[in-house]
Amino acid sequence: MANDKNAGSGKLGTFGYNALALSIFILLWTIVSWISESLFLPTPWTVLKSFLDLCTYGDVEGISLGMHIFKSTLRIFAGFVAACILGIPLGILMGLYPRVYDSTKSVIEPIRFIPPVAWIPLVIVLLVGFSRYAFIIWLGAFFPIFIGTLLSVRSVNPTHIDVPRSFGAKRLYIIRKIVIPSTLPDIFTGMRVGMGIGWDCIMAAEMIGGENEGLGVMILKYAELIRIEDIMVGMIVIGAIGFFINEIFIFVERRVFKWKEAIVIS
Amino acid sequence: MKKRWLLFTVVLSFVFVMGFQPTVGSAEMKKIHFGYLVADQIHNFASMIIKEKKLFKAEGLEVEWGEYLAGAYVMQHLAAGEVDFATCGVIPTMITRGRGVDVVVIAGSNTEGSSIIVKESIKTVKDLDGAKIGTPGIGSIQDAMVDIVARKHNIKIIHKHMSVPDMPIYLKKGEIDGFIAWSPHNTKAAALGYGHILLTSHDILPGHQCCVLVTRGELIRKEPETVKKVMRAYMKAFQYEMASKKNHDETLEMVVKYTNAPKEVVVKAWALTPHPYPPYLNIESAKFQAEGLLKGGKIKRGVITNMDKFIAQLYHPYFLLDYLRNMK
Repeated sequence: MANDKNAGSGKLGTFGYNALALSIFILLWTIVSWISESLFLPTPWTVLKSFLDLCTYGDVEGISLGMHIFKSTLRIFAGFVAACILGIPLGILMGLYPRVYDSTKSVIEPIRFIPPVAWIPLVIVLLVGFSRYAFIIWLGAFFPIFIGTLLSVRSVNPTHIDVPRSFGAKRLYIIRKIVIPSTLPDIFTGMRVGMGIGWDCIMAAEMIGGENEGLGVMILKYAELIRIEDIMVGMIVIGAIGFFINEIFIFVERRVFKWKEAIVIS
Repeated sequence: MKKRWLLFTVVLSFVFVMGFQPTVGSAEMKKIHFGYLVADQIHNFASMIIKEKKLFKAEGLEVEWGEYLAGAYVMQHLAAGEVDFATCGVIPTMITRGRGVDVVVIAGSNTEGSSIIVKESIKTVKDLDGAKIGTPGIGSIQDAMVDIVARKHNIKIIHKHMSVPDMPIYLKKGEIDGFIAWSPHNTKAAALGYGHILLTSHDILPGHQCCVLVTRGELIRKEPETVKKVMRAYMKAFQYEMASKKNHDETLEMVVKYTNAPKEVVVKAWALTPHPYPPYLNIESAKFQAEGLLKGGKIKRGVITNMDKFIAQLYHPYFLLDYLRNMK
């Protein structure tokens, strides 16, 4: 009971500190933009007004902010889901059979280091429409998920495998009951990182052109019109959605992997 | 610990000093940054001749050239103070001015010179209703021209923003029904059989101002001599091209080299792009285009309360007139 109370007041404290940090940030931003009087640094209130205008009237082409958010989120989820579908099984496979990874790393590793933006000219020529965006997001999200899974499988405690094996457990049983459950927290962390990189890639993906909706497209549109307050709305919305999704991941992680004790230095 | 602080201070001072280096190349040569658009040598041939004939050097200017995908990007860099002079469309210039950035047109460059190229199945302007047309971006003169066509014919055209070099690929793959771009991209695509030219900018808005030579108002006030030198080089480039048929042909060869377009494409595109001399800004056309920007919401309502005043602040022909006066 006392622990629950402590946890409750701890959460309230964290919330309070975050609210304070946010208020200080907004205050500093206001002061700097007032002092600088720069066209390129609007006040938070100007940005808020632009946000409301974008919600009410849409952008300069009449496309609503909601539509921009929807399109970007859809592209990110498509790329992210594809990255999970391919990255997790491939990571498990290559983790279980290191020779497969060792024999193919001359292909995998160089691709990992090619930034998604570098793929854009090729993607324009080879792919069409939605698949272009999903591919760029996939590229960004795939490697953290794949590498996270691969390394996690390799780091499963050998004792956890040897004990059931000595009792005659089959390979498939060990994979299902030992390897996969032990790697799940790391896979989840890889997914969280992958999702973050997916959001990082959205600007690059939406720079491809050919579509008028998407938060990246909206930012570019307003960059052309030199409307910094509208650009900042796009940036803040991307940040807020990213933060919200990250919090969901953390929440799920805490619930599902309760057994995984975190080390806290108090 | 002290050593770390010392190292930190030295690095920080170095970064600070490097960041505030004056833009003077040497004691004699004044350094300027000049921006132009990718494969835009038909509209803005003067910057190409200046480059090839080293006309800035002759004026005692050391130049750093910057190539940009569209006018809006040049304007962003000009607004940030990274670009001193540029040749680009009058539309991005007016949009930027409408945002309160002190950007000034000091001369015109060309009129018209763009066209809408469409797939074969589109035969008339009315067929453009509901069509997807690629444009170089919301802040471009070409995008504004698609709006003009839609308004004039009471049709709805879907704008698809993309970089100009990608437009022929999108058209070939059937992702757009057509595109509007500056020469020679449109003529080149037509020559390759990707589509046919439906409307030229002459059909859309006869004699419209397209590209201009711009600078920052701050430079005019603080460094009029530099602006004078740039204008001199700019005008010499115009005069070089006009001097003889040989020079004109040489200019076309330069365009072929810069744009990588076949000679016949360049010749055709050049014919569609008038370069009036002296290169004054077509004020009436600029006003008309500014009205369009206001109607389309690209310049916020209330920013331009007096159109004549807006254009008077935008266009600063002093250096051009001064050059022409001294020539006589």
